[in-house]
Amino acid sequence: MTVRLFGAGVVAGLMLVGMSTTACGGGAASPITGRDLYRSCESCHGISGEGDTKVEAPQIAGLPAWYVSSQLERFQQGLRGKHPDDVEGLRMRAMASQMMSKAEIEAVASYIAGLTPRPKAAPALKGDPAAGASFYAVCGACHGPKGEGIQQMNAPPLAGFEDWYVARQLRKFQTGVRGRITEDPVGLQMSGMAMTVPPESVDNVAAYVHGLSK
Amino acid sequence: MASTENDPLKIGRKVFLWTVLGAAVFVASAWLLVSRGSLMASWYLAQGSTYAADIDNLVLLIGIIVGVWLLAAELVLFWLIFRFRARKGVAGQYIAGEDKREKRWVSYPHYAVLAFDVVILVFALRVWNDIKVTAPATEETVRIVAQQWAWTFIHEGPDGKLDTPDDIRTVEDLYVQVNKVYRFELHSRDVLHSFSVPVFRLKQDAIPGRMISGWFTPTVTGTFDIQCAEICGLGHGYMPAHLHVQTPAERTAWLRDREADRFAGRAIPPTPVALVPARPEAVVAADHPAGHALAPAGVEGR
Repeated sequence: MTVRLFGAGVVAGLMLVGMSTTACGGGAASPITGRDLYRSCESCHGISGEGDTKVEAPQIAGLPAWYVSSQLERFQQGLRGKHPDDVEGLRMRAMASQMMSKAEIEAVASYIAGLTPRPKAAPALKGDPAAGASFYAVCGACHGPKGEGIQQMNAPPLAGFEDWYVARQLRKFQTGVRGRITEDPVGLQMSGMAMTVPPESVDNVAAYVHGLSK
Repeated sequence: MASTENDPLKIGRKVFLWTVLGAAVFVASAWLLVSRGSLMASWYLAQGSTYAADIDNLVLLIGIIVGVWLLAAELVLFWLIFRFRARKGVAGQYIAGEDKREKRWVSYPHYAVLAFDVVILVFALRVWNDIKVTAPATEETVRIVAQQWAWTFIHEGPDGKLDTPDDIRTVEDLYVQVNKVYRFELHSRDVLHSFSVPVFRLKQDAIPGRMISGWFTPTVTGTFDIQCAEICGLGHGYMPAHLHVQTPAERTAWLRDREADRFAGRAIPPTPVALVPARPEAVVAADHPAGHALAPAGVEGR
């Protein structure tokens, strides 16, 4: 009886020690992969990065890794998604805080870059692509004539982006909900450029961008 | 072999030993709890508002009443186990508790529970009245907007009024002045949240579609935590905010800086209160008359 009790005590003690060591050193033993980290994203952006319009989450599959990491950093630093009226941005800001280091940001970004985008969805808005074409000339200077994106200009590819997302972001830039932080020259640049699109043409430009293919 | 293991005397001794051990552990932990002041919440967390002590004292009162009676009941239990332990030649007997003398062991504690419930109720209602029913005259109002997953705070600007161009809107940071009576208006943009400020001992649910009022008077300067205390979705754990309790001098300087921001075009214009609980489209559309609501008919039917 006593021996059995003693044994139980020893086992319990070992379990406690075991728990404390795994809590301290568990992370070093198995590095977290981009796939693991992406679990934080998939409830909104979908298992294969296809997005979900019901929660205003755009498709992110196949976005270049440099762009995804730069946006995750922006969300973390309060350069994007910290405006009181940026309802979706404030949501994304909280989620972005789950990436604990630069290495994690890069890992999840390259995982997202490797996801295959789904075939282009039907437009969600009623914009007229032909009417938007002329305004796109300004955008093309940085984003490329076919919306292919130019990393040197910090301009992500736009071709095939969902029109509702493009329209919403343009309006956010125009109304100062996004891109008006003094410490964010890239955002300020985009704010200025967004002003070249008259408010009534935003949907048309979005439709044009949606129709582009690289 | 089997007969010795089932010997009632041996079992009785074993039970007795374990009882003594249990009693010792119980007394030791009770002593630790009381001697190290663990019963006092204020030992862990500053009392940062005028009513924080009232809440703590109420919790302490309940803790002491429950603690003392728990101790008494356990001592009686251990004493009974000892008093009626197995003895050679004494057969165990079944006691139904029908005798008046035995019934008292149940009925007296029962009356005590009722009496102490009334005591607790009297003190609790007094605290409830002081915090939730009455409020001192408001000196400043702050609007708090909860959403998935952030807190937005709208402060009166130098003009002392909300919904004017000098309002100061911040995300994640609430600025208040020490010893000033604040009324808060709590809104939610989407789902249930709970505005919890541990140093104030304040916790108030936010309900979409409703404006909930409350008040607080900060008494300690410094920076403290604000948290959401109602599960509100995936990012519930990622929506902390900071409470900055400022001295009057810090307050003046802070207001001056925000005014400078405003004149430099760096401030964020106020959101009309009518739009606070609304869908984001309404807010964007208000800033931008030509704005187009996001979720158009086509999205759902696709």
